[in-house]
Amino acid sequence: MTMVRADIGFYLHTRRFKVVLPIYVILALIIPILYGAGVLQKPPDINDYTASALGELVSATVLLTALLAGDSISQDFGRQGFFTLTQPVRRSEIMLARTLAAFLFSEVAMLLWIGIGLASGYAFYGAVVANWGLILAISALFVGSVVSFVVLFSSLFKGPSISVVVSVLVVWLVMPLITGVLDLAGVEPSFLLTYAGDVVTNLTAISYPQHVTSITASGGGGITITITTFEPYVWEGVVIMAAYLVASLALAWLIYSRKELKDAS
Amino acid sequence: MELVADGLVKKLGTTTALAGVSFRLQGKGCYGYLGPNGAGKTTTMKLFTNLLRPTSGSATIDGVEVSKEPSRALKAVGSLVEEPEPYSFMTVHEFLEFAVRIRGRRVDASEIKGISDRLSLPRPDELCSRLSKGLKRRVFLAALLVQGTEILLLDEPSAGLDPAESVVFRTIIQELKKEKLIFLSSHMLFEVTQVCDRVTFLNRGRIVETGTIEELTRKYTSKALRIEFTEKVPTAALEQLKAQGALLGFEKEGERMCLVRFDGTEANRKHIVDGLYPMGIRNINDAQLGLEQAYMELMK
Repeated sequence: MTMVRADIGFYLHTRRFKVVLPIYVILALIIPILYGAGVLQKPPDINDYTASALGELVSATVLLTALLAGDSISQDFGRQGFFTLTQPVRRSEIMLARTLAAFLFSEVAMLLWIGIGLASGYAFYGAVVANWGLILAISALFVGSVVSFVVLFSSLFKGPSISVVVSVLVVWLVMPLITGVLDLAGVEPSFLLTYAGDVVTNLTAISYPQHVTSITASGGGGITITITTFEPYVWEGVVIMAAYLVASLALAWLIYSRKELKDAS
Repeated sequence: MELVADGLVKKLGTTTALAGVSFRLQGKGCYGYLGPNGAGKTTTMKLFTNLLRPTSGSATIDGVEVSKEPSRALKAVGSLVEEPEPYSFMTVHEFLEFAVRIRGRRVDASEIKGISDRLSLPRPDELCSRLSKGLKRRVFLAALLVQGTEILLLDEPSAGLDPAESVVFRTIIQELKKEKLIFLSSHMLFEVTQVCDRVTFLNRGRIVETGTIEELTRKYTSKALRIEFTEKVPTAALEQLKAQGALLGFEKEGERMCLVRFDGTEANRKHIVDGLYPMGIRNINDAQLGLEQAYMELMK
């Protein structure tokens, strides 16, 4: 508990958290404010509204988590480790404390966004989406898997800054990019965490989207392009998330428990 | 209270940082670990604190092998290795409390205050991130004291301390060694002479000498004579003695003063004195060079 408390203190005091969280909340408020102010025309039902309000939830949360947890382990391979790692505390405990603290902060942030989406929906429509409980549960699992994946990255690097940057690039840029390329190639990106995260917003729909949708467009000169988009099944998303969570934590622990502090940055 | 290094070897890439170091430190006292930069002192400290794992051999604390059961082995040990960084968002007081709690101990506010006063720490509500290098060092020393472990591993502990802080630090070590085992690495010979009971010399990853300060001082001092002549230093006579193998070398320390090195045997001592007596000797003494002399000899 001492380590968890210290890590929570760390997040509370980081400039990152103080800057990123307000931006995250502002992003969550944009859609409700635009609808509330009449700038945008309200969707016909609560489901469309919630889908719109939670539209950027997954990518924003992934970015927030990468920024928060990107250096959770790598900070120990700087000079701070000369204190932390020489204490009679198992590295697995230190790692779990760091993961738990990062999870708590990311989860609170995600709950804020979902809360804003659901509450504004209730204010506008007098109802909330039927799947709100499932959305909360799966979003918690999603946050857990993103945190674990980012912790894995942070265990690979020595410098906190580089590990944050690489984590952000991988989960926020590389993964969506791969998804786009695979869509063009007609391959389901079922190994990508961000793909699994789509389950959260898909659950806002009245009827869950089809697993495969193909759109064929004809261009000039007889050229036709077929773009196949995939939507994860709920079970599939849960399996991917759980796999990332378990495998990432196991790998991170393996690396962290064996890593040596040869020199510090 | 026991620290045992048994054939410790540590390879870092292609470099062999430690090439089979063995020692056993038992009971209260302060044990110095001396050597030049790159000798392997910090590597040894890191092996005893689980920051590195040995390539072969073992580091054992109170019978528990560090690389196998680190959290159990480190229970008895407080360490200050290289230049640690406190949690920057914590205040000095919060960090000291954290240092106690992380060991599963209860915080004793009066103890923290006492140690803080003694080490003249900055205000308790001062953020650690705002402290100078020297003050951070003092905060870590305070953390070690509040943790109250039986064994202390101190790697160049007074690096970054100003002269006044160094004096306070040495006084504290002299008190602590009455009830704790302190393993202190340094290349500051004066500090080691002041606080350590026994010294181990390390060079290029190997132990080259071990003994009490007195033993080593005696051993290496007896290999040099400081001679004051009535006239100019008789260089020709000294060269002749050197050619005869009676002395190993000599260094002029002024017009009439000279330091003569020899193998320490009585026969050669007599040979040198007899050979130089006709040149007019005003004074002749065993050179009081102590640990510094030993260090210079051993690090050649």
